[in-house]
Amino acid sequence: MREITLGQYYPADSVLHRLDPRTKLAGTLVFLISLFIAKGFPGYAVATVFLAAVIIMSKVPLSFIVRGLKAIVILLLISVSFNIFLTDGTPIFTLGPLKATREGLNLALFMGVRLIYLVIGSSILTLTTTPNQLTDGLEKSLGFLKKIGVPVHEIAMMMSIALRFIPILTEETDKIMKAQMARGADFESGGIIKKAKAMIPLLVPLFISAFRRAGDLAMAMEARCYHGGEGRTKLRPLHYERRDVIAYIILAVYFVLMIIMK
Amino acid sequence: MCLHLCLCTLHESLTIMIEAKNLTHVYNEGTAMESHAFEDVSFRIGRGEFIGVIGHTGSGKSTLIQHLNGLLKPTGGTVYYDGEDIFKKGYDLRKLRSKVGMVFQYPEYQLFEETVLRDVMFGPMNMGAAEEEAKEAAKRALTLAGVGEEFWEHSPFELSGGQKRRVAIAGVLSMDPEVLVLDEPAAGLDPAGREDILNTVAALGKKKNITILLVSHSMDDVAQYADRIMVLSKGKLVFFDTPEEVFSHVEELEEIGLSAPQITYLMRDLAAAGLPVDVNANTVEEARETILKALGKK
Repeated sequence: MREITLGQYYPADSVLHRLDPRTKLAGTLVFLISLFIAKGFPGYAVATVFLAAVIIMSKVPLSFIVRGLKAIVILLLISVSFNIFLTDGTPIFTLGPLKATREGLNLALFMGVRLIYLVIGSSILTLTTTPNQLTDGLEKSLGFLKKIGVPVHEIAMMMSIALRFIPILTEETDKIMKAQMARGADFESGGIIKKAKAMIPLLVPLFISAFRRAGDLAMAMEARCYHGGEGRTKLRPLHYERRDVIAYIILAVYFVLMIIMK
Repeated sequence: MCLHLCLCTLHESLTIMIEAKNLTHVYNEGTAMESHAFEDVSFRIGRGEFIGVIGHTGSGKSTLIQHLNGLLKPTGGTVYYDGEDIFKKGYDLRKLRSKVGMVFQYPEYQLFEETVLRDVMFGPMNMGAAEEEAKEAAKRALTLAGVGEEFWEHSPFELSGGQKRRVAIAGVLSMDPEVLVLDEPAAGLDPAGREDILNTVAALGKKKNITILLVSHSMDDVAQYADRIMVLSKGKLVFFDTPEEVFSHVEELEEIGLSAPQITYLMRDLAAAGLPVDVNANTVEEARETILKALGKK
């Protein structure tokens, strides 16, 4: 329950933490695109150097970043083995009816690295940016969509509330779990049906408390006259600093380099 | 100093039930969020004692009590129950949890069943009791906790806050615990509800010789019910002694942001004003006695 790094902020004092969220969003996007441009070893080498530099600058311990990878281990294994065995080419060894090929191994390697970098890249964004900053950045970056009738502010508000509630609900889950464990509940042993049944004493109170909290929050927002995004100002409006300009320049250089190296 | 205090104030005739030895708990060890919940805490609790646990928010008391039934594992030290190390490999923690019942803060949020009776049966059923057996245990527990029979077939969500809390307490009592740990059982209740719940708990301890640990913010509550008081501050066990002894250290208590019961202050003021009262009176009852005596009316 406690191992959700995606969307979990790691407080530290680094350049990356201080960057404007829009810069970081753009940076993440560029990094993700660049991973799909890269086809061969040189491209990945540049991406690796870039990613390593960013990780060092972020001052987030490596163990925290790697933790986010746990969620994709199975996906990673499946896609890697599919690639190794189902790609045509020069065979290296056979495993029963399965035939591993050199091309497959090559592809699987890049695929795996790409997947890992994708997750690490987006984890760094969420590890160095508070959920509030993140939605602020999204709201501002996507503001142009308002013109075609997309309720950008409302969506951003929903997102920030949802993100805000993740730690609260995690804590609540933990509490209820402990309370039921104190009454002898067992969440670990047994088959899938027994395990699913064991979740009832956890889920019922959790849902009740989530609805209660949602009601309270709606009431509190109403009481403070919240009426949507129209004419609403910000306590801390976003504006670019010099470091953001520098970050954009580095990003552009990186992107050009990736295109050349592909 | 603490260990020494605990050892000498534990009544000779009591058998030791729970013993904590150099208990330490560190949250998020090895990360930037590392924080000590408490450090090197040792104490002994005897059978049938009523212990009050007080301390500020964040003093580590809630974390501490969760070690007594093995819900949290200490980062250092250990807990003995009936002389056995509960964190040793192969110890049956589930069985321990039926012996050391724990009522969390706002326990009414853990209710989930369709009827009150079924919810209270959850504990005994988990401990392997048969349906009928569990039902009997549940009925006994509900009666003890003071939930009227007319509510037993209701949905727990239809009850009032105070009733829900009683049902939740019954949910723990139905496992027939030898030790009952209650984390702020009176929080958020009106004054009448507070007194009701606390009286029920105290009566339970007497009637069934259950050892009780009551975590509370209220000095007055703790002074009234506890045989001994455990005072935690910033993760350290500062005092563990009888109410008279603990509350005679008013200055030290104030230094760590706590206070003595209001009665204690009144007694001190009266004594300072020249009335020969016993300054160790901590409850309204005791105060009445000593004031009447001082006024020569008794």
